[in-house]
Amino acid sequence: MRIAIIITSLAVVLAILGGGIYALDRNSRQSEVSASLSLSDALNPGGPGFTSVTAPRKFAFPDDHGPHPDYALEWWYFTGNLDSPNGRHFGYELTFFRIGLTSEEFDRSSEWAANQMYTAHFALTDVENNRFHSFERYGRDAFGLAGAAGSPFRVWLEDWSATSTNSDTLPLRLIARENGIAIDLLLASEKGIVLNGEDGFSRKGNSSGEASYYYSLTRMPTEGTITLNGQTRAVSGLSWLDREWSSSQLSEEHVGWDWFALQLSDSRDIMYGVLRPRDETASEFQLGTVVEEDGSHRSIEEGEVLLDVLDRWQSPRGGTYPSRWRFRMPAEGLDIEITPYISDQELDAIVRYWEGAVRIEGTASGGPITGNGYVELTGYAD
Amino acid sequence: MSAVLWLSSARYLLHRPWQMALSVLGITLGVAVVVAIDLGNQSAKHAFNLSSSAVTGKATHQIVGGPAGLPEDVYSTLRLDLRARDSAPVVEGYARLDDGKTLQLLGIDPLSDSQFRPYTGSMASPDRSNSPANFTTSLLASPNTALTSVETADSLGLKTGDTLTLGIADKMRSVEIVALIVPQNSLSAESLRNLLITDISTAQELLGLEGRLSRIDLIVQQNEHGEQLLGRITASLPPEAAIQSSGVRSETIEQLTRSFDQNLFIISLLGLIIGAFLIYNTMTFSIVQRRPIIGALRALGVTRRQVFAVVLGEALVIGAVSSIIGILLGILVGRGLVHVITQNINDLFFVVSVQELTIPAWSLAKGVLLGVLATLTAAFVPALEATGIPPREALSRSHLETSLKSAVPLASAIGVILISVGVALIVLPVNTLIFTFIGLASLIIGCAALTPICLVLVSKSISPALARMFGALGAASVRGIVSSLSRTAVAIAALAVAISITISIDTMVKSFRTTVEQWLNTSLSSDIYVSPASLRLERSGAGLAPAILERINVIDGVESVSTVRNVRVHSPDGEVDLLVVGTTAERFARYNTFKEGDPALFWDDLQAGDAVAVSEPFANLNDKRVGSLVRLHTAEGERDFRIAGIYYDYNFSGSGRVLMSRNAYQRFYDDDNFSGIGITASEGISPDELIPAIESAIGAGQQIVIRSNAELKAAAMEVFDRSFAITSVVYVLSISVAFIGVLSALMAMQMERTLEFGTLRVIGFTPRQVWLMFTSQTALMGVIAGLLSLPLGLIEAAVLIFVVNRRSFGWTMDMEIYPLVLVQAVVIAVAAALLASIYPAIKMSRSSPASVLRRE
Repeated sequence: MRIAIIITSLAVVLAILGGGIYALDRNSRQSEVSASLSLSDALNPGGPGFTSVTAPRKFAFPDDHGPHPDYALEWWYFTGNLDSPNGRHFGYELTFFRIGLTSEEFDRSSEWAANQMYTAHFALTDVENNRFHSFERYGRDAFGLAGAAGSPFRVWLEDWSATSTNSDTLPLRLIARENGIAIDLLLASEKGIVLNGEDGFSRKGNSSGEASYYYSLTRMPTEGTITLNGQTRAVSGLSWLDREWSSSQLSEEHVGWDWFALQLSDSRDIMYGVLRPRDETASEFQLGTVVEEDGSHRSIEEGEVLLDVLDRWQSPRGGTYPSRWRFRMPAEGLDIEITPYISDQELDAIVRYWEGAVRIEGTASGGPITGNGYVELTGYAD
Repeated sequence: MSAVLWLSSARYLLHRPWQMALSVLGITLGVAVVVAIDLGNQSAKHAFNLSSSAVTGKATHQIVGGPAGLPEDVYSTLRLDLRARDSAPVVEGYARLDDGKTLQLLGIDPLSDSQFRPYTGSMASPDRSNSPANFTTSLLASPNTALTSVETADSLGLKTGDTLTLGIADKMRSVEIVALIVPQNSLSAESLRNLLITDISTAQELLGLEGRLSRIDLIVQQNEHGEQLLGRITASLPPEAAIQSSGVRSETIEQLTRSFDQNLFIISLLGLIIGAFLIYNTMTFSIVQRRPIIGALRALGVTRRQVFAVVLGEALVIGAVSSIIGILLGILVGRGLVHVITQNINDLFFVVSVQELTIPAWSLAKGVLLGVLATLTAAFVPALEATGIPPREALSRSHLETSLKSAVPLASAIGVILISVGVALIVLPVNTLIFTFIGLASLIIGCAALTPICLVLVSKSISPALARMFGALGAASVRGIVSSLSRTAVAIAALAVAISITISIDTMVKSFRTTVEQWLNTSLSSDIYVSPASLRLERSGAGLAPAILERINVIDGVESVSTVRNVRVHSPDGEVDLLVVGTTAERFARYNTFKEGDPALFWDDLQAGDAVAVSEPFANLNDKRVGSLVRLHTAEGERDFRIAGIYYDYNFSGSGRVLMSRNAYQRFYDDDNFSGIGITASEGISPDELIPAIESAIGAGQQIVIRSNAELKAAAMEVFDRSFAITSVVYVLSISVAFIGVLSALMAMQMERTLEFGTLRVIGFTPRQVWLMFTSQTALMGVIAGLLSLPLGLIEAAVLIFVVNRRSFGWTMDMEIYPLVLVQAVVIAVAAALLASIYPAIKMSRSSPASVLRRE
């Protein structure tokens, strides 16, 4: 009995004490170390001293395939639609961005000092399984970790790369792999280099400096392999390369853009872009190029394209995107419907955007026409 | 019935509040010391772990190199050829501020770091500055830019855009704060304190580590795939690099502080022993006082078990109350102590900043457990004794005293047994200090059990002398001590134990200090020392550049120059401190700090890189002897070195050091910096004349300290004294516990005996005579306790010096006996005794003989 009282009182004392200690202790047991530091603003290139794009220039290849460090922002944008022999359809994106960090020349003794950084995106659309895989990485232009060169052509970020296989730039070999997903593709070109806008000087707004230098290879026959779920498949299809550099991003008045790269079954290719105004009553800014089978091309005039959104897709990560379009171009006799192969082709990158493979069906001058393409939608994410 | 029992117990205790308070105080102080030291240690460790978690982040493994780090192309190979994407380069070091504070400099690659240290790469909340500064861009692309946390910036009075001046190695540099990190909780804020984050390029340039990385962090999955990756990485590494799991780092820290922890823990337990003795004293005394009550209760039918339970219950209450107060007090003391401990760690091991006391539940629970256990243990014997009180007769004390006198041989026998067990446990060659502690406790209790026989012997031997000197009164005061042995023995034993512990701590620290002083005198043989202006011995820091040595070498009046380099290198068993000595064969042969091995004989082997010498702690703690092998990771891969000699070393180096010759070091490690240069002046040139010449040779604006031999020794002793500042805290506390405890015990006892002395008044003694007899008796008890404490204190000191310190630090020290310490002990004992007699004496002289008689 006495023992029971002693034990009970001891237990009570210990319980009270334990409670107090727990309260004290809990205070010092918070979750892991966390604090924030922004990487996203590193993607805000520029600063004073970079060259503005204000007038047409003379392009010189192959050097212009390489980087232009006087300009703050530059990209190599590969997209393509590929099929395996047994009929599976895939879309891929492999993009390298060069970001100029500073135009100042510092006297640095460390090899790690860099005035440029690269970021790259790799995405694969697996239509049969309705899956979209995307990856993003960064690297500084130092130490061989990332960089670009014109002749022989090469752009790379660690083991993702686009490289000339011989001294003529083409064909290019694209290699990327991450998390068991890989592409290894060889890209040729059916058509010559297309200089968009005024001989490659592409306006992106109405004021001076809101422009970029912009050229494309719109029809690149592609062969190679895709590795997915431990299985490597032969694939073939068409790729598209967009090359662009400038020192300004989107102007203040624009909130984002819708971009179409369309490869039609009659061998025509169409690039069309719309810069959406922030003020919805203002007019949008349009640009585009039609490339004929023989490689000849012309710019698309304001108002030449009639675009209707037929469907919308709600991103689980926030934001609503247009998702199906009727695309009419009376001057070219075109009336087509553009449908994403799968709805969710949103890259959850540091700047979120939608970049996906699309299917084309419709009529050209009354006859049926099909095709594939890539659409890029920015400025929709919350 | 039982309620009555408990009430009686409560009334007894409540009616003697001061007696209660003092005995509570004993345990309280004991628990407080244990808790305070533990909290201080835990807080320092917690702070270190936090800052190291901020720095290490989520890495599972690290690739490490030699003292100068890794060649940076290891990283590009890793990323480009091995595709080890979960990897991040790190360049780190320390920077001093004008006010002497040290910041940790962490250089990272913001582009590959986000998954390691989330705060370096997560999506941002904007920083507080108004500037649209593109700070990641600035960090990456602009030289001399840095980030700190908001809290660190506040404490340094900085805002975005400000420039911070840093002393790094021997240079002054400045960095611009381009942005502030906003921690998301207080833990993060604490971990980012005193951390300066820069891009890896800036860190390389600031620290002069161009081309090198301090380490590469890896996240490797714990599966077959991860194992394969580790295998591939290992195969690709150059020989100087090695891969280690992140845990190794924190293990090294554990190892470093363990010896201190152990030593302090033992010392704080000694504090608790004092407390336990006081409890024993109080409980025994209260049982003696309550014999009539307990006897009556037994007559009323209370069982032995019930009596036992009540006494233990009282102890439990006292123990619990004391422990809780002790914990609170411990937290208070810990707040002060944490700074002392932090200073220790900063002096000796690494830079850590502790702002808050961490209060881990276990530390507090440990305190309560120890307090309650000590009380219950101390009360066990008195409780047992209480059960032996026969019912009804409130036995006369004379009966009790007779029985106790007859128990003297038994107590002595138990004492001898306990002492033997204690000695056996202490000399037991096991490496856990808990046996040592139990042994020590048993030794102390054993000695205490010998107190009655000592008292009997002392009284027999000195009472004839006193009778001759002071007459009957003199003899009576001695015999009075023996005649009330049941109380006097316990009180004297408690006093002796308490005082002995202060003797042992004091003797240990003083002996150690003397040993270190002698060792410094023999090991520091140069006239002038040049070192970087660092707060502490920097391990692997940038140090002094070779150019400085060249400039010193050509100064007129410099006879010879020797160098040292302190670095930390890797071994398969963790990190090892390396002491690299650059000197000549003649000078080396003259070093007489070797415990084993003749330096003149093995210098050639050292130079050839075949052999090393190790410090005594290294040999003791790693179980190595001359002829054993030490395996180190070198630029040529793993390599075995034969141990050719063992030298004395009283640096707090955790697990000891390995001494290598400069020649061998430069072959095995890619590093030509120095941590210090010793200069011998030519015949006839005084060091003071030489110092200005050295200053001008080094040039202005360098962060270098030039010190004479005496100054360096003084600085070393200052660090030593600071390291043992915590011991003096314990010393002061244990003296207070001892003093207060003894005061209470003697006062309680003498209060009880006023009756006895009152009787003397009745039979015709004058108040002055009674007062004299009473006081001299108390003083005599003080003297006896003081004298008994001397051998006991010295035995304890020997255990601390030869067993505890050897096992925790690996040191051999000479034990010296300091007469002053012993005199001081006796003085404290007598002073406590005299002080204790004042109040009872006053009370007694005021009481009238008649009232005494009435009570009788």
